[in-house]
Amino acid sequence: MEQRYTDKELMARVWDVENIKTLIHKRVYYIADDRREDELSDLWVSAPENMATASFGRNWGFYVGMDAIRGYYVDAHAKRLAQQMERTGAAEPNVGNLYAHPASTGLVRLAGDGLTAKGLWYCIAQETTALGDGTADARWMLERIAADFVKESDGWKIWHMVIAADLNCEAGENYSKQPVYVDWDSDPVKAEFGTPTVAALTHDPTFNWWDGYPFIPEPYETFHDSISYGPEGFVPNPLKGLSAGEGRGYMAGRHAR
Amino acid sequence: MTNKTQDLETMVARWEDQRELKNLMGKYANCVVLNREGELFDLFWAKDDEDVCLAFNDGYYKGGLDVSGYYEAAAGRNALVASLLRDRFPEKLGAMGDDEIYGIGPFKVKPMSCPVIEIAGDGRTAKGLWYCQGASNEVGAAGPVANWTWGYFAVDFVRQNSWRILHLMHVNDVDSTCGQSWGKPQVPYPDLPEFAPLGEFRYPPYTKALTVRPYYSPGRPMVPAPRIPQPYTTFSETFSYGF
Repeated sequence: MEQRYTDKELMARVWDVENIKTLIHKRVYYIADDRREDELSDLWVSAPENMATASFGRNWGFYVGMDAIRGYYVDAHAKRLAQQMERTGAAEPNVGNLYAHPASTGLVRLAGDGLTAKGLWYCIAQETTALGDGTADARWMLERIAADFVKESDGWKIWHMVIAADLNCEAGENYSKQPVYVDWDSDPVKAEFGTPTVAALTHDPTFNWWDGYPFIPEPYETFHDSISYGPEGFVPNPLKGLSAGEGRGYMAGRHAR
Repeated sequence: MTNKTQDLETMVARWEDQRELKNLMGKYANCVVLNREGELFDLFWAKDDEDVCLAFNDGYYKGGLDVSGYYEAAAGRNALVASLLRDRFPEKLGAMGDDEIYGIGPFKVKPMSCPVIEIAGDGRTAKGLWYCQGASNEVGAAGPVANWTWGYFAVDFVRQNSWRILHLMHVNDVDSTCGQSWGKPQVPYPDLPEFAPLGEFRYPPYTKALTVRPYYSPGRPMVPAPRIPQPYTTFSETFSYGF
């Protein structure tokens, strides 16, 4: 069988995967320092054509384009920190806040053409927010991180990212006692997410994994929209989730009460 | 990062280097979970280099004597825990000798994730940063208590016959009791008389006692993570995780 890549090309592909993992690992330390602006500047796409199509998704939809992403991820966050300072009387942002989103279980697929890649990680995260009364709201946040990467002139960059929360509960509480049905209206992560460019319930964690999004990346030759972790690649699963009729009538019973 | 202009042999060698560095820290973590602190200095450190340095949240051990002294004290503490547990459970452990029971009790889990590794251009040193979402299930004056330990391993390595640790900084943000929120006041467990000697145990004093990283509290200002390694040519060009 004819070898597709030379030995050096193969080794370059090995390093591509290593460098993509390192990119996501660096993001962990940027988050810990709450360097969101730097994260977008250093780790995300900067080529104009990629900036226009970049996206940041969560359970409730996608922000599309780097300007929209910055508005949500940096500007709105800064406003919330300023509001927190007013409430707590802190002299600087992030007093008493803690962010830890370590990524593990990395799965990276490098395109056959070597121009893009896809990756999926799991993250047992926690975020802690000072309340101003000498205590803080410490929360476990279990989530999947899916990303498309594109190789730009200065290396691999994040192009599309989806962070899909599975669980968000207070530290010290028994998370098996969580209500089955998530009350999105009181969910702090949803409140933080605001109104995205494209609204869609992409991952409903009710009954956990039934919707299967974000999907596991498969081997591929060249990138196309249908496999994107951007909004163009999201297709509601007709066979899974409450909207497909799963749930054995629990939802109807809940409404009846 | 690797430079695609490198020749194939160099690309392979540097990939093997970063894999060896990950494996080294993997072995270190496995030795800790097995309570083999007494072997860590000989197994993994650049033990003949007087620049070796081991940092925790509240100080630095510097030089071979002080770094190895810390590990010997940790091993001694493990032995003390084992002997107290033997006294507490004579029907199961009473007939066993010190060597047989060494290691029972402490369960210190330090899984390292999120590596960012840079190998110097000259190939003589390397730097690595890991996140550690760990647990320290220790036996203390209150008996067995499980704590979450969330923090960082930041390491400088030097190449001798094999890669060796030159500086190791293991600092935590969270070190708080499992089952309680680290955002609320911790409720300590009461001391138990059978474990009282552990309340009197002290590690050797630091070579340099100072706050390397304050633990998280609801009043703590944002404290940056240990710096992410950056590409460098030779160690004098970059920062150090040592004192």
